[in-house]
Amino acid sequence: MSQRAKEPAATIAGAQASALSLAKTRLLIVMGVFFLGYLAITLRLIDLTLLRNPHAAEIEAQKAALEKGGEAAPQAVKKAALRGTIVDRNGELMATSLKMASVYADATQVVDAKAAARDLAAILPDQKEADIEKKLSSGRKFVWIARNITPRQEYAINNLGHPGISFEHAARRIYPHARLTAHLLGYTDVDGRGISGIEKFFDRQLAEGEEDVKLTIDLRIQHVMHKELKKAMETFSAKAAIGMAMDVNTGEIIAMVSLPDFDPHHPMDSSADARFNRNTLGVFEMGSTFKLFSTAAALDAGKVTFATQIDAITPIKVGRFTINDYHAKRRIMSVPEVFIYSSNIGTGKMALMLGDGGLREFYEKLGFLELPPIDLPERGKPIYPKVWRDASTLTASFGHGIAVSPLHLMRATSALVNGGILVKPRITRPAGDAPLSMEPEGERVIKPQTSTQIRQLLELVVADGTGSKAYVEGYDVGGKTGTAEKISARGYNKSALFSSFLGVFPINNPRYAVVAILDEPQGIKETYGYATGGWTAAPVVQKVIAQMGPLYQIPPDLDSTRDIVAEMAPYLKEVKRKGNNLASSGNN
Amino acid sequence: MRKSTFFWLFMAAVCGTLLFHTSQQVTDGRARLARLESDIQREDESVRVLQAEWSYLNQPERLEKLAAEYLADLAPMTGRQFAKVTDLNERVDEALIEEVASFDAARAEPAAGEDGAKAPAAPEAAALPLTAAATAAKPAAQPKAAESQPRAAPAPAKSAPAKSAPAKPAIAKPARELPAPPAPPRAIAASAPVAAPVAAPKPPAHVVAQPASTAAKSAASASREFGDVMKSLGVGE
Repeated sequence: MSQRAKEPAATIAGAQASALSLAKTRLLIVMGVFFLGYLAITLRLIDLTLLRNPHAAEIEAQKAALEKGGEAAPQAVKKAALRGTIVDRNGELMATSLKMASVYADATQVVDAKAAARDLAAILPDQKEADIEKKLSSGRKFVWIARNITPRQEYAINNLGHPGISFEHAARRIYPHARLTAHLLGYTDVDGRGISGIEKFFDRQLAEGEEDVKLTIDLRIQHVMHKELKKAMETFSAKAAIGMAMDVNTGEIIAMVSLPDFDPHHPMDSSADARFNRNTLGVFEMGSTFKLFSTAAALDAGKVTFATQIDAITPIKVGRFTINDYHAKRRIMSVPEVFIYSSNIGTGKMALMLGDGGLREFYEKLGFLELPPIDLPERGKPIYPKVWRDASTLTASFGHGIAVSPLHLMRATSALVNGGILVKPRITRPAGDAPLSMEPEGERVIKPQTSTQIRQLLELVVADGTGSKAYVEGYDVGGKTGTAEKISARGYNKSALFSSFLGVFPINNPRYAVVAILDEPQGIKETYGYATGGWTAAPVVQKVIAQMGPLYQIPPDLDSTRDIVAEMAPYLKEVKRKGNNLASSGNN
Repeated sequence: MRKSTFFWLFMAAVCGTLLFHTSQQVTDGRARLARLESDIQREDESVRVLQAEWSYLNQPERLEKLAAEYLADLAPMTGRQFAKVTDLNERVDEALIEEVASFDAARAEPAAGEDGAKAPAAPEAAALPLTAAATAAKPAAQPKAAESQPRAAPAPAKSAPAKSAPAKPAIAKPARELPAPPAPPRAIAASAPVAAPVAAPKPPAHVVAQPASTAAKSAASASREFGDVMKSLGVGE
C-alpha cells in the first residue's frame, strides 16, 4: 500500500462497516466449526492410537486359546462346514470328511479338445481318451469329466492350464477301512446326513464337526474277527456270519462284525441283506447257548446244585411235540453233566423247577424281552410267546421258541460271568477320557456264588466237553456251544443250522466275552461232516482269543494248578479225553 | 500471514501423508490376514487328507500282507511268550537244580556260605527229604501224563508237585520267604516227558552227594549258587 498524504485513512463506516463486521463474524463461526471438527478428529485419533484398542479383548482371548490348545479360535477356521470324524478306542481314524474336487468342463470354452483329452486321460486313468474328447467337443456348457478325484490329480490337471476345465469342491465322507467297519459306522446320504449306524445315532454331534466321536471298538480285534469269520464262512459255505467281542465288566463292545457286509462308499450297490446288521437288529433262536441262562436260573434260585441228579432218560412229551436229546445219553445225570452234554431233557426239567413263569421272569431280568440298550439306531425287538405256558418254558430253556439278538446274548453272558451285574452295552466312550470303572455297574441279576458256578461249568465245556476246539494255550477259555435248527415253513430244518460258540476268557477272572455264529454252515471232510457250533464256530473264537490275549497283554495262566476236570470229577461219571471222542460229541 | 499459512498447509500435507500411509498399512495387513487364513485352511485340508491316507495305509489287512512279506521271520505273539518275574524264579530253579546238582556232585565239601545265616536251618533238614519225595513223585507223574492227551498232561503232573510245593521254596529260595509257587512250567513238563526220568535222579543225588555236610551248609551252597545266578540275571535277592 502506498503511503498517502497525511490524510486520515478512509474509515469504513456505516453500512459498509456493519457488513464487514458481519462477514468477519461469519468467518469466525465457520472457522470455529471447522476447528471443532478437526479437534474432534484429533481427539479421536489420539484416543484410537494412543489410549486403548477396541479389539484388545478379542486379541487377548485368541492369544490365550492359542497357548492353551494350539487350535485357532473358532472364528479363524471354518470347521463347521465339514462333518466330524469317528475314531476307534486307540485313536485310529475310521470316518472323516474330505473336500474332494470334481472336474467339469465348459465345452464352449475349450480350445483344443484333442490335446486336452489326451492330457486328461493321462491323469485320469479310469477314463478313456475318446470319451473325454467327445465330452469336450460336445458344445455343452457343463459336462462332468470326473467326480471325486485325488488332490494330486487335481493339482496335475490344474497345472495343465487348459481353458474350460474347472473344479467343483464338495465334502465327501471317507471310510479308510471300508468294509471292516461298514455296519458299525453306517453311511451317509448325498446331503451328508447319517442313514444308519453311528453316523445316524450321532448325526447332530457329527454335523457340528467340533468333536470326534470316540468308539470303544478296537480296529485290530475287529480285523481279526472279520478275517476269521470270513474264512470260516467260506470254509463252511455259510450264508452269514456274526461275531462280537465285549468287555464283560464295562459292557464296552470291542468288535462287532456282521457278514455279508458292504462297501460304505457305495452302499446301494449291495443288497439290503448285506446292509443288515445281524448283531443288533437280527433276532434268532440261539439254541443251546441259552442253556447257560436256564441253568443259571435254576442254580441261582437254589432249585438245583451241582450234585442234583436229573432224569434224562425219557423224552418229554408236550402236546404234539417231543423234546429229545441230540446224542442222547439216556441216563440220570448231574447238573454239570446236563450242561456239558447239552441235554435238552435235563435243562427242560430244571427250568420247570422254577415254577410257573419262573424262567420268563429270569429272562426278563436279563433283558431278553425288551430292546437292548446301545448307542446304535438298529435294534431288534425279541420274539417270544405272548402267552407263556409250560411248553414255552421247556423250549425257551434250550433256546427255542424265543428269538433274541446276539447283543442280548452277549449282555446276558457278561452279566452271568462278571459276578452277576447286568451291564449296559455301549459302543462309544463317554465324553472326556475319564477311565471307565472296572467294577461292573448295573442291576444285580444273580448271586456272586452262582456266577462262580457258571464259570466252572463254562470252563468244563471247553476242558472236557464240546467246546474243546476253543481251547487257547495259557488263556483259560470257558464257553458254550450252540447248534440250533432253523425254523422254516415246514418246521425245524435239520440241515439248516445256526451254529454258535460263546466264549469267555480268562475264565477265572473274566475280562472278555467273544461270540461267533455261523448261519447254515455245511460240514466238510475235516469236520467229519459235522456243522455244529463246536466244529465251526469254536475255532473262530479260539483264533480271536489267541490274538486278543497277547494284544491286550493279559497275563496267561500257564502255571495254573487248577484243574477243572478234577474239581468237577465228583459230579461227572465219565471224563472224556479230547481228540478221540470229539466225533461223537460234536453236538450242541 | 503467509508464513503461518505455509506452516498449516505443510501440517495438512503431513497429516494427509500419514493418514494414507496408515490406511495402506491396514489394507496390506488385511490382505495378509486373508492370505494366511486361506493358507491355513488349505493346510488344514491337506492334513485331513493325509490323516485319511495314513489311516487307509494302516488297514490291518494291508499291514498283515506287508508283515508277511517283510517280517516273515516274525510270527504273531502267543500266550507262551509271556512270563511274570515270579515265574522266572521257577524256571531258573528247574534248570539250575540240574546244573547245580551236576557240578556240586563233582565238588568237595563246599565252603560255608555267607548267606547261610539267612537260611533257617531246621526247615532245611525237614524240607530236603520232602523235596526228594516231590522230585521222585514228579517222574512218576510225568510218564502217567505222557499217556494222556497232551493238553491234559500238565493237569496230573501239576497236582503232584503242587502238594509238595511248600517244600520247594526251602531248597530254591532259602533267602526268601515267598508263598509256595505253583508247579513247574508246562514247557518242561509237557515237552520233555522222556527227559524227566533222566533228570529225576539228579536232585536226589544232589541231596545224597553231601551227606557229610550239614543240612544248613548244603542249603547255603545251593542258595549261594542260586544267588550268583540271580545276580547275573540282574534280579535282586
